Amino acid sequence: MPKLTVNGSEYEVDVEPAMPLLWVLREELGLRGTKFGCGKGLCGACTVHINGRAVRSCILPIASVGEAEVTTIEGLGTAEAPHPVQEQWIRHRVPQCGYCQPGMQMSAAAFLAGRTSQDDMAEGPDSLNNRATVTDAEVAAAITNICRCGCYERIRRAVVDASKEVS
Amino acid sequence: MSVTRRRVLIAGAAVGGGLAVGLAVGLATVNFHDRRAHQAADLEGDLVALWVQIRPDSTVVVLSPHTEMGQGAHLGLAQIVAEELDIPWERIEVRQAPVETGFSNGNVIQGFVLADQKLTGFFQRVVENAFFLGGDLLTMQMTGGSTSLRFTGWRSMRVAAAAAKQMLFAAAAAELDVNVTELVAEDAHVVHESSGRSLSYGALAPIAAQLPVPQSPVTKDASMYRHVGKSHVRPDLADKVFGTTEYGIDRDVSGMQFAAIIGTQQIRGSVVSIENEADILAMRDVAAVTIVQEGVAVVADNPWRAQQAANAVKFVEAPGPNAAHDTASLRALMEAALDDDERMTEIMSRGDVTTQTGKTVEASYFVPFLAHAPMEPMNGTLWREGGRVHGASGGQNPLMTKNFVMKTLGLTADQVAFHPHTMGGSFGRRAAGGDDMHNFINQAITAWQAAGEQPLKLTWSREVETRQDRYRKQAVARYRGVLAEDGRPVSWQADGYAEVNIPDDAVTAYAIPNLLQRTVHEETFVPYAYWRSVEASIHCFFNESFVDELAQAAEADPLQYRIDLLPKGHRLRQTLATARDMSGWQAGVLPDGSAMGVAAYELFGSACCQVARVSIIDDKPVVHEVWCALDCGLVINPNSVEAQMQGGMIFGLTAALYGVIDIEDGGVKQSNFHDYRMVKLADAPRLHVKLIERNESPGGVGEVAVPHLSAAVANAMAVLGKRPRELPIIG
Repeated sequence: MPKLTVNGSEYEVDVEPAMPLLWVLREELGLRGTKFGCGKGLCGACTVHINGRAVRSCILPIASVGEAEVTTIEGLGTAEAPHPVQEQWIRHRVPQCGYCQPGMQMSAAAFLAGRTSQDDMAEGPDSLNNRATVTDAEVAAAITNICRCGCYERIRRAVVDASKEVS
Repeated sequence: MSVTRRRVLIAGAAVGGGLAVGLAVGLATVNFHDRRAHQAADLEGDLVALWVQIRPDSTVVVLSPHTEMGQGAHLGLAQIVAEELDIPWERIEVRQAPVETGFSNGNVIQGFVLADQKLTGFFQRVVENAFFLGGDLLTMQMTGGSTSLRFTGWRSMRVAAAAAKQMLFAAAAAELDVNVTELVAEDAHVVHESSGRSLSYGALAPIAAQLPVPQSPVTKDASMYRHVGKSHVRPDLADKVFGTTEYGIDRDVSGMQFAAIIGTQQIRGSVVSIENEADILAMRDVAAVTIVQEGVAVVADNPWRAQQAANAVKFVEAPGPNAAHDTASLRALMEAALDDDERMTEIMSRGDVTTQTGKTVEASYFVPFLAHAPMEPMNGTLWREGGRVHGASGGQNPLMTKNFVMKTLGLTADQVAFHPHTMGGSFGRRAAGGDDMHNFINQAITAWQAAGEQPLKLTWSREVETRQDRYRKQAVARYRGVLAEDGRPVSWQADGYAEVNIPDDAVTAYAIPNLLQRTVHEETFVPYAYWRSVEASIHCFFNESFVDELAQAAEADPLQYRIDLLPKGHRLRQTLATARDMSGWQAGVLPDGSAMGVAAYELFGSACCQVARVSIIDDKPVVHEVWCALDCGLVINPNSVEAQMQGGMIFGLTAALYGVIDIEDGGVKQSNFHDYRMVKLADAPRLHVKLIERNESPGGVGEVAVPHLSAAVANAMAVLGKRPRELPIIG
């Protein structure tokens, strides 16, 4: 029976190895903040973190998750303790319908975290101040989620501002 | 229609104390007692089936008949009511109105639109047919046509709130034995300043409830506004950021099963038989497999299992009458119709377009079918509880959806409860204007019955969403213009195969002395639905491309050319001038090889102009930046309006660059986001929005920014020598 670590808690689930992580999260664990959008990894509404990296959970078989740490929107932050990305999402009033926003924020958070650690390795801590703020082009290249309401202008501003905090 | 009903403000004591005010028109007046019956039967606690309720603790509840799909209607309605009642923002709360006939807004629209003003634009269509199928106003609880703030909010809730305030003041004057003119509102209290005495709204509410309702209350002067025009924060913001908003797809019912669909290849196809039913039933935890409208449904205990099983179903589809049709054949039928003068209907004619001579410009344009593609696919949940059938789904017309459930199951209103959810996008898809839009609810009902009426949620795959949508129409048009010596057009003829319900929205605003616009239109087998901005998404591309071609032929600056062609005082003139100034408008190729294009169009009571700066790289347009100038009359919430402009432009850009639904062998070719592409961050231009404020009544904003970019991008490309006349530009 596959074991699963989600937001710091361990679960055992009795499902087929091929079942995508998305449906395990939503229906076996009741974590419905992660959304279904396309089922083909095209839109990113289902984005979660696996060991801190952004992954599209609608095409990730549960068998391949193994013992990795899964983080969902429920584990990213709360109203009392928001993630820097969520603080900026609120400050810039990003969401309209809001459906893509859990996945969008998970992508943004992983992008910013990954970028910081890469810079750390490549250039050493001294270079961080110079490169603290991401550029629009970096954001556009890194985040490929779809927002049908078209909140991209605010998403871009929110990610750039969050990058100042995350780094 | 010759309806001449007048509005009646109504009020009464709220359950649990307090004052409730609302508005009744015609049928709803008669129906007032029904409201109370509904309240007794269905509603909990202090809810009253009227729109604005003042509670004993001086908080105010607004019951919104409009649903949320991201447009921020609840926020705007709350601001309007808080303004008229003169209460602090913290004291107002918006709730979704119950899905009951007492909250239908068909009455409001009928009463206000038909009795009080001339019908224009989209509403003509709305009122006269689409939403009133069967003539039953009481099944309408519609959100669409950019109406929430314009009609429900501005023309009715505002007046109801003003009446409530007047009643509270009258009650206070009597209680304090002073003249009403000596009273002021402060922090939800009525204050007698000279004596320092005051009474709270909550304390006054039950007294006010006994008073007659003023039928012509005085509304606030714009100079006194403190909520309208402020960027209050939408109430659903935090839930959407932390992922706690419950959409229809998240509805959880104990013991729920899940249904998935495999759809027919043909549009509106029908399944004759299932070939491998035993194999499907043998799959893990599959409970049922059944033929449904437009496909086969499989029920299992997990949505993925249900979809896997549905995908494995082998079925025989009835031969469809449209199997020979595809996009090209439908287009050929349209083109042939345009060749036949006798099939044309004149929708606007002035002067004589046949006798003008001069430089002649001719052009043809084409726009394809489009799907709505909301991020949350269609879904619906059904269960039995407390002796009733319950339904849950996101929708722009929940009352009509409830009625569909009642009708399909042969039940009465008191046997069905319906729970509307916030929508993960809609754009017209969930604007149920008839049974045809309820294909997914119909499928859910059949599957629910086949699986023993255990709680069930049907969720569409993206593939079904794309192929069983109802679509923005494909359209073609031919234009012919004649220029005078000075380059101004003396003649404009437009022939289109396109639905024109709203001549004002289809005919160009430019003052051209000789103008003929004709149309031919017949329904195709491809089912139709309103698509964000409705017909303007078609006609703006046609008209604003062609006027640009005339400017190009006249070797004129296309922006100034438009200004010069508009009648003095036309709202679009100022939007053009504003967009020119904010963009640093330049005609011709810019030093970096890019170019600017412009489009200006008025729709849903608002005027909008957009300028796009575009390069062509590898034969494809890259849109760098867009400037948007909007005149939407009175701005209720600037931040919210800006958001709708930003979103509308991206929605329009997706249609301009990528949007196409192809018909192939009588079915829809596209299936998911790889072939029905959306603009993403990488191709989302920088957006600049400027609001031109006017203290008049508010115009629409939810759909207003959508139609322009197709033309503006095409017009910029024309400067660079490659004018697209067919959408999508990239595909």
